[in-house]
Amino acid sequence: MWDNVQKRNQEKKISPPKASTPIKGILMDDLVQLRTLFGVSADLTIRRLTVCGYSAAVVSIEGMVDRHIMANAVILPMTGLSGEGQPPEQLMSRIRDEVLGFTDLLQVTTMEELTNLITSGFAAVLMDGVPFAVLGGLQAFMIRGINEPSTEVTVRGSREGFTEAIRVNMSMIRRRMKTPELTFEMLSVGDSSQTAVCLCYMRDRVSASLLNDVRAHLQDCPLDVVLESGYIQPFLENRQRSLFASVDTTERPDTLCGKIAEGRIGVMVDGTPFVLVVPYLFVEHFQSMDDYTQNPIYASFIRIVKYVAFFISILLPGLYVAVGTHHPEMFPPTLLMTFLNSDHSTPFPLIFEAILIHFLFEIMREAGLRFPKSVGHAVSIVGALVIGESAVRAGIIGAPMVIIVALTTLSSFVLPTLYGPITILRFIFIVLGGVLGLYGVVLGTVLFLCSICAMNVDSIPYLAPISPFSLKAMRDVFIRADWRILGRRRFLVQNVVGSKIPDDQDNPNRKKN
Amino acid sequence: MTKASQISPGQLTALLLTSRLAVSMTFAPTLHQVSHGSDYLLSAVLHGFLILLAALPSLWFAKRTDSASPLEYAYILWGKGGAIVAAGYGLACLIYQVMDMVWFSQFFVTTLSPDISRTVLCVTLAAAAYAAAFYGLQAVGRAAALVFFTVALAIVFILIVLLPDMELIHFPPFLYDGTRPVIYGALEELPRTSELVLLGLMLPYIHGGYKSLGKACLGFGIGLTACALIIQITALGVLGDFSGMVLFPYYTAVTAAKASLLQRMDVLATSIWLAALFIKTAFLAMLYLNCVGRLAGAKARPPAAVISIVLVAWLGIWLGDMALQWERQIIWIVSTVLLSLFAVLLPLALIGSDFLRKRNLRCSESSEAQHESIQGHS
Repeated sequence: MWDNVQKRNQEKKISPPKASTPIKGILMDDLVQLRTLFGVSADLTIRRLTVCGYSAAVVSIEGMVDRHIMANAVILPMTGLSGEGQPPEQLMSRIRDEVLGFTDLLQVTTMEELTNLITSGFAAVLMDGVPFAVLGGLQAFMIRGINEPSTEVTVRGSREGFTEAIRVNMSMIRRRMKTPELTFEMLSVGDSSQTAVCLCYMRDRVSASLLNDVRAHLQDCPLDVVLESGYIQPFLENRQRSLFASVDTTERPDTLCGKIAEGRIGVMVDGTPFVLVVPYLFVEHFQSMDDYTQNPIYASFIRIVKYVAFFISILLPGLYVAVGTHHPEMFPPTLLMTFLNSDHSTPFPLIFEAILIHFLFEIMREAGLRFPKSVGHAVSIVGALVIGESAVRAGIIGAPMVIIVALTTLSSFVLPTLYGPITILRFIFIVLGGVLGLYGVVLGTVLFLCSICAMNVDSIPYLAPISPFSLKAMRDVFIRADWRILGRRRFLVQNVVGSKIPDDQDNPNRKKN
Repeated sequence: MTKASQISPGQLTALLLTSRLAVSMTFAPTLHQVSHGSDYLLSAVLHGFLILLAALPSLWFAKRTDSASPLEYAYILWGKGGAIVAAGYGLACLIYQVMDMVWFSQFFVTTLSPDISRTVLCVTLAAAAYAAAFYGLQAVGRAAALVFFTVALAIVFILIVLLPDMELIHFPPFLYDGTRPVIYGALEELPRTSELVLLGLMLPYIHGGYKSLGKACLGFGIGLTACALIIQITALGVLGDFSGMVLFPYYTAVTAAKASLLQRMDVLATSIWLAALFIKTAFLAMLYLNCVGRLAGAKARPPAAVISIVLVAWLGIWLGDMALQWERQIIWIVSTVLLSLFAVLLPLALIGSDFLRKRNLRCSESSEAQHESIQGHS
């Protein structure tokens, strides 16, 4: 698949640039050209009218513009315009300057620009004898309202989540960061979809080289259609064959503001509430908005809980299988008796039991997720009854294993962004523990450690500031220090220990920390 | 050498310490025929001091050549003769891997003997270590820092857990048998510090030049002394004279430890030892593959890795099955030869060669200048 993408990329590079078609100024020809471009598409609306004796047309896409405003603020004033005998270009200039009172007012000379803008919710005025079109922003398409983000629920903090409309999302950021240093840079990605992508960063904090890298990755994106930020995410990731994501996604404007204030770059994609954030380090999986709004002592405790949950969710089943299969002497006597009773009453070896029950759980989770909510609950009940009760009663699975699975899965829900990697690693450690005992688990852990240590995200070690280690940075890693301490020194992502990103000391926008 | 592939002195210290702890944790005084008592504590201190002395030639070489690689420098000074140095270093790395695998195999057979296949475990260890080696020095260095932290934490934890089982009477007076056991113990342990041999190969990969290397060596010497003392105090304090009668006293002492739910700590000790051994094997594999790359090009590294995995695992198991008394004769003698050759003689030979080359250059320059001035006068 990657070969195909590369092939297409090469084809794209050697193909000649698309020739732009100018607006001729002969209304009939221009409208025929437009109709040809859109084919039999039913939503292209062309309203013909006569202005001061000249044929004109107002072109728009149905459902993308406000029909009332178009009728009252464009068509009616235009038809009532006086000034017969004026040259058409002068008349068009009058329409632009006197009639169309919009804030978004543009003038284009090519058909490509024209189609691009009318598909974005602009209404275009074309006139016979005028080789350009005047467009006004009349966007009024239906958008989902601002709701609480469903994937990042917090106890305290804003209840606002991003929506599918990129402009609304931009306004949510601007409302929180009232500084002129906040910059929104628009790009277009996808040959056919021409999806609007917005880079969001703080000019005085972002590293220029990082910004150039992100821009270059997006501009080189060979996709034809981009419908969600997940489409472009792989092009921003540094290492393709890694379990761990080096690009964050967030639905929360306050989280994004916090990230860009640390010199990161937000990548908003029109049509999705999920905003990408680069770069993203391993320790950030354990940070959430609540950490910064709650009491620092409690927040630190929760941080530690998250780290413990991470290790439990990856290692616990593997360790249980390893100890139960190869080192039962490690159990305390009472627990050993319980374990032996359970082991003797089940027909399968522990490794098989563990794989079976985890696999069943994943099937049920996936079923519960994809089904409608009402059926999803039913799936959960069936799952709980089948696994929790029937399987144990029937003697297929031991009761301790059910407890282990319950604890493991609960722990993995503590870190939703790490669910995928955790699940894969858990299976690997179950196999290692079953075959090689604790030694297999240890070997797997150190190899996993080497693999994660080898990752660099935009020239920053993925595991920083744990390894390479920075004591100063620990104030927001395993614990969350008080705001009085956190606020003393501004944190910038390019200053993380081991980072090779240039700090742009010569950046004129850079303010001293 | 680009900065991207360099590690910090702290990471180097952790890497060296983790690598050496894989040996220290399975210290076998009976097998090594050294004192198992209090004198070994003094031996550990003397060993730390000897490490610093043995590192001096490498440090001198690093200072003189601005942390050049001995491999590259040998090619510059001796032309194609440099290939012998690369081959020698590569062979040394391979020998150390085999010796570690022999040690692991013997430990497995004599002490652990669980129902896990030794062959599968040895092959897995070698294969996983070589896989880690392909991640590069930075990855291994960063992982070593975390593993060292875990190992250090574990040995301190084990010491604390075993404190109630320790008896002061188990510690005989220092120098009871004179200074000979102290010196003998230190000299026995010094060649087993293969990290001194590998120091030369690490020179271009350390951020900050020879001063950083000096700091790393100092940290290594002090850290190793501290860790060796903790390990020996734990073994001696719990077992007393009995530590001279068992093969691996630290392991035997740890078997007695209990901490809350954990009924036996030996598996914990073996696990952290295995983690340290993994880092050491990965470190050796990485340096070995560097030598192979220098000799036969980067494309030769993957096939060389596959061959080495099979060779190291097979030799480790085969030699491990042989009589234990051979261990001292073979491993100690081979280690001493390698240490003398690569940690002392090679850096000195390179320095001497460099000195002669520069002197010859100066002589030829001055004779040319004299010749020109004579011609000018005439």
